[in-house]
This record gives sequence, structure tokens and C-alpha cells, in this order.
Amino acid sequence: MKGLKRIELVFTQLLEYILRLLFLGLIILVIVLVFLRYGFNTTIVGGNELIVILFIYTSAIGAAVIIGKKEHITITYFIEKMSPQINRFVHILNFLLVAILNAALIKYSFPWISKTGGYSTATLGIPQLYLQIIVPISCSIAIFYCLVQILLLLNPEKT
Amino acid sequence: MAILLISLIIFLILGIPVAYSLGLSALSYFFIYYPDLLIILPQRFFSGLNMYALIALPLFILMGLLMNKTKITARLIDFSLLIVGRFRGGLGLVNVIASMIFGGISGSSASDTASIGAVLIPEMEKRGYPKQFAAGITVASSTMGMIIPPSIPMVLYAIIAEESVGKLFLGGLIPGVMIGVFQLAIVMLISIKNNYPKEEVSLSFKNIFFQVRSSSLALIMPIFVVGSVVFGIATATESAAIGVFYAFCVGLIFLGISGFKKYFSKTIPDCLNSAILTSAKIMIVIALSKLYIWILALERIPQTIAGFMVTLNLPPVMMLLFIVAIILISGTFIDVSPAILLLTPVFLPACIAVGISPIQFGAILITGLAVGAVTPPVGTCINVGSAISGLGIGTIFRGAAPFLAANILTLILISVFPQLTLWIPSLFQ
Repeated sequence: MKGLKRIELVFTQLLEYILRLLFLGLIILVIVLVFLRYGFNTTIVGGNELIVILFIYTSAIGAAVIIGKKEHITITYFIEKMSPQINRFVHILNFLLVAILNAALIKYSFPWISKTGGYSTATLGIPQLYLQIIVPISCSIAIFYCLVQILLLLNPEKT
Repeated sequence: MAILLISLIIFLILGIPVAYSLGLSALSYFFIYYPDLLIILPQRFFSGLNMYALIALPLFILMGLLMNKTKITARLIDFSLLIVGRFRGGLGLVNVIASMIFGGISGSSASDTASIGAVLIPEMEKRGYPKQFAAGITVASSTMGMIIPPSIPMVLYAIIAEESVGKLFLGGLIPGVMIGVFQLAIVMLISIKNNYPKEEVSLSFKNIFFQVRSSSLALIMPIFVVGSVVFGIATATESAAIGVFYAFCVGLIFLGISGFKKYFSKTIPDCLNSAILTSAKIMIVIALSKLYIWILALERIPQTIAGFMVTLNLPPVMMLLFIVAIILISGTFIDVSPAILLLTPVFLPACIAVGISPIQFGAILITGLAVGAVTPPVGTCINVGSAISGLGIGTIFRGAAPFLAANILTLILISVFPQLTLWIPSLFQ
């Protein structure tokens, strides 16, 4: 289990690094666009579209990373009242259900992407596929975290 | 429809994150009633993430975090001390004033509790105030953070309700200040009764000039961040970006050359991480609530509720007070962001149907949910307050209860008198 925890840690650090880069890119782009607009009455063509793409990627991957950190908005009042054994069982069930939802999103994203992924974005002309693909990617990351958490919960004494 | 509600309650009780409870509930509904429509699952999820206006969210969060890390709290407390420190219960009054100013900088109640509480709770305890009182006033006054503009929940509501962010910011101004004034009065009454200490404050011109100068960079920030949105100079996203840039520059000035290395190697990466994850936490709720809201629309629930409300033939004020009760109960169990996402599409059409302004409803919703941030078991501020003070959430809640009377009174007044929320926005038509 130590190995699994190590893999999770390294993977999370890598994702957080990518997230910081994406978010930093987003912030710089928004600030540059504001200064260009008000200072020089000009803009970067497709800048706003790129900002939205960066935002979608940041939000989707960020939401998956939070599963590993167990920081999602949750009502913990009832689960905290349960005995440790039931609590552990319920936690495993929760991660399983979250993984099932993400698996469903992956399953149904492929027919959706194959139908609409060929259309291009309005300004940059990027195929929608490159934006939509973040759904199965982020859901796969979410499933990875769910499975890691389930394995860690199943082997509590070894972690 | 029953399956949607029952499954959601079960998932929430089981401790499944709110976002995924909404998604699982929607999945169960589609699976049972409309398996052919399951294909829209990823599409609705994606459309929830694909919203330009919501980019303001992580930027406002980052702005608050950066300001928080720049030793601004101590300066604001010193400035507040100058204004109210010399009165009976000075530090309690300082707590309220500092929260009011901080609300205009951070836009978040939890960060307000954390920064002001970390400094003032130990200091108040040292000066002889009961710890319960100190923690209680800290968490109760921090509720202003989400009402006084710029407010992150207001941005979220504005996007869901398709209303002007600027008007909502202005609509929250009077309720926010009212809560502050009422809380100041309650602190004074309790302090006089218990003979809490006054603080020695020098009112010399030199000291006043020094305190105003040292906090001026923080004090002018809300003016141009909110001002740029209100006067239509910038969009909410742009104003948040300007705010981030400003907070970054203030950090450079306040921390000085000696703090540069830490600022770039630790403070900024930490703030970026925190802003991304906090925003993603809200974004996933928005994305998955899109599915839920889509089903509500499919089942015509908002229209049904609106129709029901109209048939009750209640005066708008009575209807609002009924909704306020539901908001207060919901806020006790659900966090602010998911509550906004769930309650807005359900109650806003009913309010509009009886002639209540979306701005007034927004101010009522956020003010009501702010109370939930201080009530057990899920109140964010009360949990942060507990972590800082080491007191149990029950104890803190008992300490905060007298001050929450200010919030409830404000809530009733803004429900009964619409002009309290609509007057300032009407000046900027």
C-alpha cells in the first residue's frame, strides 16, 4: 500500500503542477486582454476562447484531484455519527458510487464526442473534440482516485 | 420525480459529495425513466463547465487569498482600532469593523474568519474577554464577507439567475452594512453589561495619518474592483483579473524585497493551488447540478412551484418570509454554493411571478445562507472558527447566537422593505 500511496502522491503533484501552469496561463491571458482592451483598444483574436478552454481544463482536472484529497463539499454530519466499521463501509460505497457515475460519463461521452466533436470553435477553429475530450480524461482521473481510496480503505492497517 | 428527491437525500446522508450526489441522483432518474436520454449526461456536464462568466470565480478567490497573505489583516485591525477601539468592548467592535472591511477585500466569509480570528481571538482572550464571546463574534461578523461586495456567492447567483453582477453587488451593500451596524450595537450592549475593557488609542494626527496610510492600499481595493463592475467599465471577470493584479502588486509592496523569494516560491504557488481547488470544488457542483436542474425543468418543477405559490394568493412579503424560512433551514444542512444552485431555479421563477425583483431575492438568498455558514453542523465559518479557537462548534454557536439576531433582523427587514436592496442599484440604471 505504501507504493500505491507514493504513486498517488507523485501523480497528484504532477497534476497540481499542470493545473498551476494552466491557471497561470489563464490569469496572464485575462490580464493581458484587459490591458490591451483599455490601454490600446485592441485584443488578441481568440483570446477569450483560449481562456475558456484553459478554464474548462483547470476545473475538470481540479475536480478530479479533489477526490484524492477528499475535499469535496460534503455533508459529513450523519456519517461521523456512524461506528468506525460502518463508516469505513459507507466510505467504500461512496467512492464506488462516484466511480460508477464517472464511468457512466465516460461511456456516454464517446458517442457524444463522435457526433459533435468535429465541429470547430468559433474563432480559433479548434475542433470541439479537443475541448470535449477533457470529460473522459477527467473522469478517468476521478476513477483512479476512487479506486486508490477504496484500496486504501480496504487495507487500513497497512497504510 | 420522487426518485430524484429521495435518492438525492439518501446520497447526501451517506456522505457522498454534494456534486456527485446530484449527478448520481440524475443518473438514477435517467436510468429508470429516460434511458435513451443518458447520452445527454456528458453534454450537460460539459456545458456546466463551459461558462465564460464563471471565470470570475477562481479569480475573485485568488484575489482574496493573495490579499490575505500580504499581512493585510494586522493593518486592517490597527485601522479598525483607530475607529472604534476607544469604546467599551473595543476589541469586539474592532472585530466587526475589520470583518466589514475584510468583506470588501476577500469576498469570502471563511477566509475572513480564518484571518481575523487567528489574530483577534487570542488577543481578546488575553484582554479578558470570554473565549466563547471572542469566537462567537468572529464567526458571526464574518458572515458579512459574503454579503458586502465583492462577494463570491453573489457572482455565482448572478450567473445562475442571469442577472447583472454589478447590481447584485450594489444590492448587497445596505444589507451588509446593516448587519455590521446591528452587530456593533449588540457588542456594545453586551460589553457595557459585562464591563469589557476599552483600548487605549492615540488619536494624534500623526497616528491617524500613519494608520490610514498603511492600510490605504487595502482600503481602496474594493472601491475600484466593485466600482469597475458597477459603472460598466469592466465585466466581473475583468474586474476580478484587475483585482488579482492589484493584490499581486500590493503583496510585492507590503512584503518588501526580503519577502520576494518566499512570495514567488511559496505564497503564489500555494494561493494558485488553493484558488484552483476551491473553484473546482464549486465548478463540479455547478456542472453536475446542470443535470439536476435540467430534470427539474423537464418535470416543470419551477413552474409548478411558481403556480402553487401564486394560487396561495399570499402577499409578496409573506411569500418571501416563507421562502426565507426554507433558505434558513436549507443553509443549516447544505453549503452555500450548492444551496444557491438548487434554490435559485426552484424559487426565483415563483418570486418573479409575484413581482419580486431577482436582485432582492438574490440579496435575501445570500443573507439567509450566510446564517447557515455559522450554524452547526455544516457551517463553514463555525468549523474554521472551531479549528482556530479550539472550542467545540456548539460552544461557538452559543457565543455567536446573540449576534446572529442582527442577521435575522436584517433578513426580515430586506424581505419587508424591497427598497433596502433595490435603491442603490436603481441609482445606477
